[in-house]
Amino acid sequence: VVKSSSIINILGNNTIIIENFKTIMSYKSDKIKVKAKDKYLTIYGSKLFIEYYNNEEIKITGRFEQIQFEVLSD
Amino acid sequence: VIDFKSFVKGKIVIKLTGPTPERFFNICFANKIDLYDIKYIDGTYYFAINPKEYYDLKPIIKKTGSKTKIVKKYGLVFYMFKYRKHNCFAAGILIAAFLIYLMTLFLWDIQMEGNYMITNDMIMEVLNNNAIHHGMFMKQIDCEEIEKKLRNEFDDITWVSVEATGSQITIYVKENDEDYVLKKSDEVCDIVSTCDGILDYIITRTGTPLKSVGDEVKEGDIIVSGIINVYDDYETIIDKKYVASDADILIRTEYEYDDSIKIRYKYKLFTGKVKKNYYINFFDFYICPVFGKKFEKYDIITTDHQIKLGSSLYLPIHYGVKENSEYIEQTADYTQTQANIILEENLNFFLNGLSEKGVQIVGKDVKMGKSLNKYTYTGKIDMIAPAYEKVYDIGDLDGNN
Repeated sequence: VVKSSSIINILGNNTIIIENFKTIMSYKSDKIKVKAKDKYLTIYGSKLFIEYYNNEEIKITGRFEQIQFEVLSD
Repeated sequence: VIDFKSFVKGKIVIKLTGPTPERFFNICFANKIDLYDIKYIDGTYYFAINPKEYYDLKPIIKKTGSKTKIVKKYGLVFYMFKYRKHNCFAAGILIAAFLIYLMTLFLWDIQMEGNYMITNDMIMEVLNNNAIHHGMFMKQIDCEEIEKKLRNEFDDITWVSVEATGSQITIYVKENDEDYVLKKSDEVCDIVSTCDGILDYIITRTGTPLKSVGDEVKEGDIIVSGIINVYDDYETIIDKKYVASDADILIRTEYEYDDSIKIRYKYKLFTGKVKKNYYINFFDFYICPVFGKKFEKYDIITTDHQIKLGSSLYLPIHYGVKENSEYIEQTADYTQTQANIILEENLNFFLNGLSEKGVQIVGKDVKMGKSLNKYTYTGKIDMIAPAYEKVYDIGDLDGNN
């Protein structure tokens, strides 16, 4: 795990693994917003499903349509 | 397919409703409680958790004001709890364990290793005659007794060991590769030639040599006699000593080599059609469903497996597959070169066999010929061979043998 930033692995349009993530901001079946090290990551899609998460990484599966980054200002 | 590891570990699926589900998840995360399979379906959240960590959730539920409900329990612990009052279920487990234990008390498999001349059937016959058979108690088996019986029954066995492991016995056999068993060296004997030729080399250790190097010998001639005459000063025999004659002898001889192969030969042309028949064999009960038409001519390759528990507990259940490969019998003729290669190989095989017995090949004059329906390979092999044997029925040295 790299300390300075998050490692985000996207496999096709159905799996994403985010290492070094902080918290889940919101979770609905069509939108998941996750806070990573220095940014927010929002995934839009359908049938979104958190396969697991622990203190190292989170794995989200489903049909992704859009992935959006939002860099924290501070 | 049931994942055995996760079945033992178990899991609980929980339905979660509340004002701040994300907060609930994040607190779980901060407390290092692993949640997985988190789903959002129609306004409610579902997640799975390890049963051990379930009670750690209680304070978090209270803190976030959520409501939870267990939807599904899965795993060995819950399974056992559910069936705790089913006496037959527990009895079944016990009976199964007992049956497996019972099975281990019997002999299910007899393996044989190292026997070439003596067939498995011959050994089995001896075992059966001594009341050793499949399905008997392992306790009744006395390995040393079996070893003794086998040694007595077969003269060709030089060493035998019986090993009992689990429900299997393995018989390791070592056979005598010599053509004959050497008799005791102190028994009185003559040394006799076994071929016609010229004596090439002789060193006598005991006995009276009757031939010397360069002499012609015929098959059956005594070369070294086991009788030693004792002469007095006037060269009259006053005594006879009987000894076990011992000598190194080489005789130069010509061997008539004769080999042939038929020109026309049959071979199997495989059509490539293969039929697989699966079978199960339980004790003497044999099931092998066969579908479709049988081939007219076919080779069978059987792959047999015996079911075993652990590494050495063999159960009397066999299964496997019989592969029938269809072939058509074809006839063809050897060409001269093909025949030459085969016959040459035969000759080399024969000569190598001689060399291993200590025969020196001096020369060979073997020619290939062709008769009506076969190729022949005939000629003479000039060799120096230890062609002698010991004869224990001893004759008289005076020639009245």
